[in-house]
Amino acid sequence: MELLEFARGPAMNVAMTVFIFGVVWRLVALLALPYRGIKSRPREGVIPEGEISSGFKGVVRRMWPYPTFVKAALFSTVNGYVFHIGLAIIVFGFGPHILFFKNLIGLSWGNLPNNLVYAVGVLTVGSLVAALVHRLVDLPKRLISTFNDYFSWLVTFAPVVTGLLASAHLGARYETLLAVHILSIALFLIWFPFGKLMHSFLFAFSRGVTGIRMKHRGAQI
Amino acid sequence: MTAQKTRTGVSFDAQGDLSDDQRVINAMHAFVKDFGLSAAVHMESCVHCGLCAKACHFHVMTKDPKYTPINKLKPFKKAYQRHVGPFSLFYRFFNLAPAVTTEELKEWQELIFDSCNMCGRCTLICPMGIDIAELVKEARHGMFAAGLIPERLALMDRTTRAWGSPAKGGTPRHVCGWSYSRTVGADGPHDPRLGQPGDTGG
Repeated sequence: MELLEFARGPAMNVAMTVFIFGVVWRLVALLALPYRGIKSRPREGVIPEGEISSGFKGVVRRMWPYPTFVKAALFSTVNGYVFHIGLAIIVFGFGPHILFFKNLIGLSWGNLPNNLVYAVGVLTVGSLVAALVHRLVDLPKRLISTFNDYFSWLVTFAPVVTGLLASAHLGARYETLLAVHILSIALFLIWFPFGKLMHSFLFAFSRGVTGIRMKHRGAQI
Repeated sequence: MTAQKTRTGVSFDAQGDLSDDQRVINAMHAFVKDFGLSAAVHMESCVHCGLCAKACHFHVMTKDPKYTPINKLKPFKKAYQRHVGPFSLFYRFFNLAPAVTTEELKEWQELIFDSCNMCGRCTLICPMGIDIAELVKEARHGMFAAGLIPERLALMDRTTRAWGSPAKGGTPRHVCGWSYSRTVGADGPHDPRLGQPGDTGG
């Protein structure tokens, strides 16, 4: 079996299966834990129904730091946006990726110009490198970093770089480059449920719970 | 007083005469028992961005990375991964999150109690919305169950149990810096219901 055939077939099938079952398992195991509620009485004037909507408010409010912290959090926030939006543009805006989704789920949409996606790819690589350098030089960040952080970075970085190389036909035969690119995505999908990449789902729950709690205490969200 | 030092020279107080193993078991039981959906979601969501350090007074003033708020919860995150999280079975089987030791809990006493006033600034700056201050509170419950809280708090606990208030009898003067023996007598507390320093009170 050719490497490309293996990547497109068994490797991708296994990766998708692990991804789906892993994500479902992690979410179910988490959400099945009892909700202990908040034992204190709500601050005067706070009605329980309002607490639920404050959960949604909490999710939206955390998209940008509170004014007090804008300066301190500027690099992390802006750089975070650059590579998150960059990744979204690459994954959902590149023609061949849209074809992949069409084969997978039957849905397709218009693609962005290839050159624009390549430029975004280069920008995303730069942003991810900046994120890694920041993790290595910022002392608190370095102290709390674990294998999870570095490996999650690697499996995010690898598909972007191998994708750019495959597009540019640089370094090896196109088929080999494409196979390596697909295998790097398979690795990303396999790691996804086990590491911090799960924050893609968990951020909403985490922010929502705190939004509800802040409203309960009568704090401004 | 009961102040002792760990092997690395970190001061800590201990109450009662529990064995080291029992202290860890008590801490983990209390911690795991308290764990519900919201605490678990917060334990799972951290992306280790380190922004909480930039909001913490203790880190801002000292620049010491150990005061990074999420770092103050390290032993309890290990306990969560090992005993509660969705992959706890794997963590135990492959020893990916080694069991918490008493030594770690003793070392973390300073970080959990003395280096956090639960102001909640870390909660406000966290892009994931993790209520770190609330998690510190949960961790303190675990430390109390282990008999590993600062002695000044243990005394307040004993006073509250005896008199229904932490601010009665000789307690305030003791807290303000009076020596224990001068406040309550060289032979120990003048009210037998207070127990001896070192008792967890139950």
